[in-house]
Amino acid sequence: MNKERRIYTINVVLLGNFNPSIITPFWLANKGIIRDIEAETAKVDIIHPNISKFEIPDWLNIEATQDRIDFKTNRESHFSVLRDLVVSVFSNLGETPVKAFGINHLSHFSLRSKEEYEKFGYWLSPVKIFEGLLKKPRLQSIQFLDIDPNIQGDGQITLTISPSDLLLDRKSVVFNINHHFRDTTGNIDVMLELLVSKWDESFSKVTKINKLVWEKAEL
Amino acid sequence: MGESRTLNSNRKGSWVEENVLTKSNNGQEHLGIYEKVIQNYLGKVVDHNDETKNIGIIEDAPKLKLEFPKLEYSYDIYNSKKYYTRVQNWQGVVTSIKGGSFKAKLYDLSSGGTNEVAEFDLKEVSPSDKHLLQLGSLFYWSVGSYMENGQMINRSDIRFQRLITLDADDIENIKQSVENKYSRLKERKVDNYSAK
Repeated sequence: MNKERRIYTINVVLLGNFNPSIITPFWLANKGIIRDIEAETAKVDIIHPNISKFEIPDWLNIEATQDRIDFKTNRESHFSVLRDLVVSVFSNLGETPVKAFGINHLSHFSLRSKEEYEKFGYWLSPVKIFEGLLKKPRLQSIQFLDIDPNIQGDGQITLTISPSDLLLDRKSVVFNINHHFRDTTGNIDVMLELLVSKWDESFSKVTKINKLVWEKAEL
Repeated sequence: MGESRTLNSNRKGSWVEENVLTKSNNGQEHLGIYEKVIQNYLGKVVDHNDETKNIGIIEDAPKLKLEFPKLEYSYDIYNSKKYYTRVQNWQGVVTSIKGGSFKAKLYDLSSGGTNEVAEFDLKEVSPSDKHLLQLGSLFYWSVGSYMENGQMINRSDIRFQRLITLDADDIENIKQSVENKYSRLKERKVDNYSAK
């Protein structure tokens, strides 16, 4: 069974040691990373030594703390723009130690009916075995981690399937595939090179996983 | 039943520990940080580098009469009433600029295939991106549908690439590297001529 993805969003998360107060809309515009008008219209929640959180209207949300930065976009048209932005930000912060990064791919799919949606849930997990123990057992989310030690160089995959939080028709699901990479040296140049070189591969991998799940699903 | 109930890595079976990178933050995790910031505004002094050194309330600390910003824990861009769908993306290289338009060679990022050529009106370029438009510039072009509050709108976007990968040190290193290589090439050339 082939299923067409209805919505696709991503976020790129980096773990390391950061100075959140540097990451502001005007710093990004000053470095030429975003448009000046985007900095002027940014919705800033907070800029502080411990946390920086703001939104560039229409496409980008950034949340930085001292150990984690999350770049999020809801626009499939801006995935490459997001990658360029992450590379540009950390090229300007050359000494920043980064120990890991992950790309979260969130693909939203709709089932044909409520019955099919429920069948898919039962196929993922035999929740019916809890009948008798729980009054109405339902699946909230399910997570699988690929721990094959031979694929470390290709990154590690975690797949989480849960009801869609964007398509609120009660027959849609979201596949959140986290593809993450670690580097013990903490060298930002190594991590950026890895991010750029694995970017397209990560998207191909996600497309393949999504397709395989729907092929295998018994609906 | 004398053995330990603690599962070691070999005995976890199909269970694994939580991965922090998979979490899509909804802001709730940072409530502690927000609280610290609020305490600072209210006159409590907090050492942000060391949580154990919380100095406590200073009675005569100046009270800032600012309205504290409303903190929202949800993303406006990540909203069930606003989303993009059926998107087709291309990456383009500007090949000519003439009059009120420019031509570009396009590569389909969504489905691959052969290169295409297209002509765009300069009016389609954002005023903020006009200075980036020159021969050889890279840009992203996308068409798709945008759902806003139940209404589907078709959109076309052109966005020029803003990739800053070199800082002053990098440029200096490249210059040095070119200089080194070029010097060696010249020496070899002279040696070859004298050998003939």
